[in-house]
Amino acid sequence: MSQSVRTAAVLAALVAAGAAAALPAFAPAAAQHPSTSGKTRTVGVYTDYYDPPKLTLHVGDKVKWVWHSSGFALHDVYVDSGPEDFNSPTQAGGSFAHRFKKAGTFKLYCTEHPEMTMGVTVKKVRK
Amino acid sequence: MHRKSKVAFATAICAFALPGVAGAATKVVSAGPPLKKPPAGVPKDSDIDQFYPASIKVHAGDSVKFQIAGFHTINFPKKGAGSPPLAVPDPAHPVTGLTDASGAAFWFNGQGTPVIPSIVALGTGSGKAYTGAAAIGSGIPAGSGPPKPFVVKFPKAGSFTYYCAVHPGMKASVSVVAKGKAVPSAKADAARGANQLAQGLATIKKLDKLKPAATQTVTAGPDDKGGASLLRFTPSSLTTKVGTPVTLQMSPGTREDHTFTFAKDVKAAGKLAEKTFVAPLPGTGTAGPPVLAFDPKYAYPSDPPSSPLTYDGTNHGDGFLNSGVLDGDPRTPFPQKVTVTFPTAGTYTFFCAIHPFMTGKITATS
Repeated sequence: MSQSVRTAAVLAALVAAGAAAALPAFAPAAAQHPSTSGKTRTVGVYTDYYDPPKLTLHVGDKVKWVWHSSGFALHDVYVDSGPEDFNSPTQAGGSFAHRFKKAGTFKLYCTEHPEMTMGVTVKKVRK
Repeated sequence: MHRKSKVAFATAICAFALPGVAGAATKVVSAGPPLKKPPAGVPKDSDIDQFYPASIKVHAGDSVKFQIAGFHTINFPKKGAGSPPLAVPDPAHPVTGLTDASGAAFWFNGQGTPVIPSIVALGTGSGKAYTGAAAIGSGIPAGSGPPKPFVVKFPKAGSFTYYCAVHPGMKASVSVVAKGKAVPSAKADAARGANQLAQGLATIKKLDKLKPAATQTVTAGPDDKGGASLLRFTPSSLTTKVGTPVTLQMSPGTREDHTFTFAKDVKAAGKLAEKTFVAPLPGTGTAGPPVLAFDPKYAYPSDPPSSPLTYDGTNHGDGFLNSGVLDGDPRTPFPQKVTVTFPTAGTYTFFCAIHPFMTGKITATS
C-alpha cells in the first residue's frame, strides 16, 4: 500500500472514529511515521449501537470503548469471530480498552443486544 | 444471552457456598443465567428471566449474595406485599407540552409521568439485613463497571419471596430456618441450578422452532411463562390485506415488556428512543438522588386507549404509532396487545422502544 493511500486510510478511520477535533495535530505525525503502532481509538457504546461501527487499525493499536447509554441497559464487547478472543465486562457504564495484537478481521457484538455489532480490521504494521 | 458472569456455570457452582465469618455462610444466587454467552445451538437473541437456583434454604444469620447477570433487580418487599411496580404515573409530575411531529398535543399531556419508584431505581444498598419488616432492593444495574452483587443477611427464620421489578413474574424464594436444621449442601444447590438452566435452554430451543401461532398476528417473542424469552418479533415480516386488522401481541405470561412502535426509519427512531427512554426527571438529581422516569412518548400509547388504531405511514405527522408498554400480565395496568388496521397498501416498519434491536415489518396489499 502506498504511503498516501495508507495515510488516507488512517484519516478516514479517524474521521469515522469521530476524532475530527484531534485531526490537525494527529495527521502530520501519522504521515511521517506510518508504521508507528500504539495509537488509541475511542468507540462509543450507545444504547443499541457502537459508534463508529467499523474501524480499521494496525497491530499494536488500542481501542477504548466508552459507555454512553441511557442507563437502562447493560452492554459488553464480545468477540464473535476473530484471531484473538477478549471480552469486556457486561456493564451499564464505564469503559474498556483492548490492544489488538493480531492482524485479521474481528466481528464484535454485544451479548445483551445481539444485533449490536462492530467490525474491526487489524492490519499488519508495515516495516 | 443476556449475561454472563465471566465464570461458567461449573465455576459458579463451586462458589455457591462461601465460608463466612463466625459460622455464618453465604450462598450465591444468580439473577439471570450464570453464563457468559449462550451455548452452541441456543439463539443469541434469547434470555431467561429466572433466578438460579429459584429457591434456596439458609440458616438464620446466613447471607445470600445475588450476582446480577442481566438487566434485573432484586426486590424484597415488606412482608405481605408483592413486587413493587416498575413505574407509577406521578400526578405531581404531569406530562406537559409534548407534541407530535404535526404539532398536535399528545392525548397523555396532563397524565402523570411514569416514574420508577426509588426502591426499584436506586434500591437500599447492599449488605442490609432483611426480616420482612421493611422493603429492600438492589436498584437497577447502573454506574461504571459490572453490576455489583447485592448481599442480603437473613437474621430471622421465615419464608421470603423476592422479585425482579423489571420483569413481571420473575420471582424466587429464600427459606430461612433455625440453626441446627438441615439445609441443602452447596453441591445440591448447584445441581438444582444447573438442572434449572438446562431446562431453560431446552425451552429456548423449542421456542426458536415454533411457527407463528396465528395468521394476522405478530407476537413479541415467542416467550414462555417460565421466563424463557426470544427478543424478536415473530414473524418479523407479515403480509396482510388492506383493511384486515392485525393483532400485535405479547406472549401470554411473558416476563418481558415491549412496545410496538411504528416509524419510517426504525434504526434512527430506535437510537432516539433508547437515548430518552429512561432519564432523570428535570429538576431532580442536583440536590438529592435523581428520580428516574420513562419517556411518556414511548411508555404511553400514542393514541387514547381503546381508540381503533389505523396506520398509513403518516400518523402523527411523521409515521409515529406506538402501542405503549405492553406486558404479559393481565393484573398490571399495561395491555397485552393492540390491534392495527392498514387502510393503504404499503410496507410499514416497527420496533420495540425498550429493545430497539427488535424490528419488524408489515406489508399490506390491496
